[in-house]
Amino acid sequence: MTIADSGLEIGARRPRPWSRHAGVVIPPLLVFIAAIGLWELIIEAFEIQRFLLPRPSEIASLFVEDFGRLIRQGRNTLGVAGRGLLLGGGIGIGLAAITFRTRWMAEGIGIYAAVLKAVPVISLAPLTVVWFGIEAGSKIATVAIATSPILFTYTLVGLRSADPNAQELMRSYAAGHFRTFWNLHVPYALPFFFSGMKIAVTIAMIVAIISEYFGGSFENLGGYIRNEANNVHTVEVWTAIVMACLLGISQYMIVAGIDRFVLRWHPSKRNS
Amino acid sequence: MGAPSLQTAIAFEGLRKEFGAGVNATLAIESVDLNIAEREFVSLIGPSGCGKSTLLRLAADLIEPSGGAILVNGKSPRQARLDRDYGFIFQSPTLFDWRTVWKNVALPLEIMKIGGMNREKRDEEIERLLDMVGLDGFESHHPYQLSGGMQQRVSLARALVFRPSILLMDEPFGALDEITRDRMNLELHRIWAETNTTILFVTHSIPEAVLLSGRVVVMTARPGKVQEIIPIDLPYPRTTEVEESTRYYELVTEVRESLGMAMAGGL
Ligand SMILES: Nc1ncnc2c1ncn2[C@@H]1O[C@H](COP(=O)(O)OP(=O)(O)OP(=O)(O)O)[C@@H](O)[C@H]1O
Ligand SMILES: [Mg+2]
Repeated sequence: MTIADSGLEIGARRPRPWSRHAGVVIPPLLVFIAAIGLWELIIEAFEIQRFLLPRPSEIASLFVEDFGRLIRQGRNTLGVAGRGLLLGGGIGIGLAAITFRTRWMAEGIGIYAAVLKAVPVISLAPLTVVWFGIEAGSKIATVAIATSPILFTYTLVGLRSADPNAQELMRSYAAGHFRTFWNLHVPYALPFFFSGMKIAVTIAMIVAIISEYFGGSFENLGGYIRNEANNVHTVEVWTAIVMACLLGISQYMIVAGIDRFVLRWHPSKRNS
Repeated sequence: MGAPSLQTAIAFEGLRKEFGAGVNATLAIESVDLNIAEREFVSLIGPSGCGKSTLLRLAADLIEPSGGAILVNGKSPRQARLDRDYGFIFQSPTLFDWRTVWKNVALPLEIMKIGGMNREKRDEEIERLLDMVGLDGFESHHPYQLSGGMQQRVSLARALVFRPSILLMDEPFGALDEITRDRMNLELHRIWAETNTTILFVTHSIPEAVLLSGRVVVMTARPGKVQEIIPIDLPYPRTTEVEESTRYYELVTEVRESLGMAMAGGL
């Protein structure tokens, strides 16, 4: 009996972190190394010119050299993306919270959210420049326009997913709107909110960089890419792209990490 | 309309409830007249779909009647709800997954911000209730780490914690094994006897209804009506000895026959 018990316990224990992560980390890492090697080889074999496609090793060394400046520029772009997301999220989540109890209002706004998601929002960037000027303001506005419908839709669905029985329970306590909202609807909305956020942070970064292509300061990733590309400084462009990728990935991972932590109780996150 | 008797906790008068409208309308409750006195323990029993849950939900002001009247503690159900006169126990446990067992039980106190109860006393009360439903040691578990029966016991503790004067219980022990169920029944009965609680108790179990109640209300199949009200003249306290008495078996048989007629009538 004790042997069976302890056997079960060992079986039930989670595998050690390294062996658990190894399967996830090693294959992509191998693919990455192979791709970089292949890239170097192709350039060597076909004598591809530097301005068309630079060597990864060259990009890497310039990236290290320019790291300080790239980080500064990245921070500016991140600032635009972040403030745009804050504004867009505020509008989207706020509207969802105000309208989710009133079907016709939520649906009325929902249609415009759907339209806005279908429109390539970046095509509005020149317009926002006309409205808000060439500097950060217009870029923040474009990011907000792009992210608000995403967060509106996800938050709305989440708020509405609250268990009807639990709603009746709160009603039986004569709980006020605010208490019901905070104690019941918000926890139900969180998983949806985080799914929306994972999409929105990525979109915010993309839209921020592309808006920066349309003009304004060079002290950000998009502006730097625009400037260096005009001068056919391909290696410089690549270093900015690498920085954009790294920032995008870390942003996503931070959101995913918070999601994991906050929703420990959720069926999708529990460890068995 | 005369002044409502203070002795009546819940009064249903010519109560009617129809769901939906037009061709899709379902008449769930046709006409129910029933008075439940203060401190009474009344069981509702009847075929599935006869409107037992509906009756409870009407009393709790969770839905509105289509006709007739309800008085709860001499007030409209709405006023009684706003006064937090009753605790409702749903057919499913309806716990909050993101809260621990402890915090689930504390929920009504948090929501109602019950004055006059200091934190220490509050914690003591929660601990006592969790102990009573046999869940001490599980305070910091989350609902998904409990069995269905344990979850339902948390929901019982949660309903008792703010000491409502009326308990509306919708098959609270349906998911429990027989031994736990018996224990919970005896506990519930003890709580009822020790406090001034009025209990309206929906069940599918005839022995349970007879053991616990002062009266058993047998309902007909849909649309729900009161088929018969059977007074249970067993001595108190209801112990295992009572459960083994001849009178107990006679009453169980009586309820069973009445229920049989109620089901036949509905066919
Ligand atoms: N929200 C609703 N909309 C439409 N019909 C409903 C609704 N709620 C209940 N009904 C109908 O009312 C009738 C009574 O339902 P109710 O849930 O009160 O039955 P019950 O006696 O509690 O049954 P059970 O013992 O199976 O729990 C059923 O026929 C059901 O279909
Ligand atoms: Mg029911």
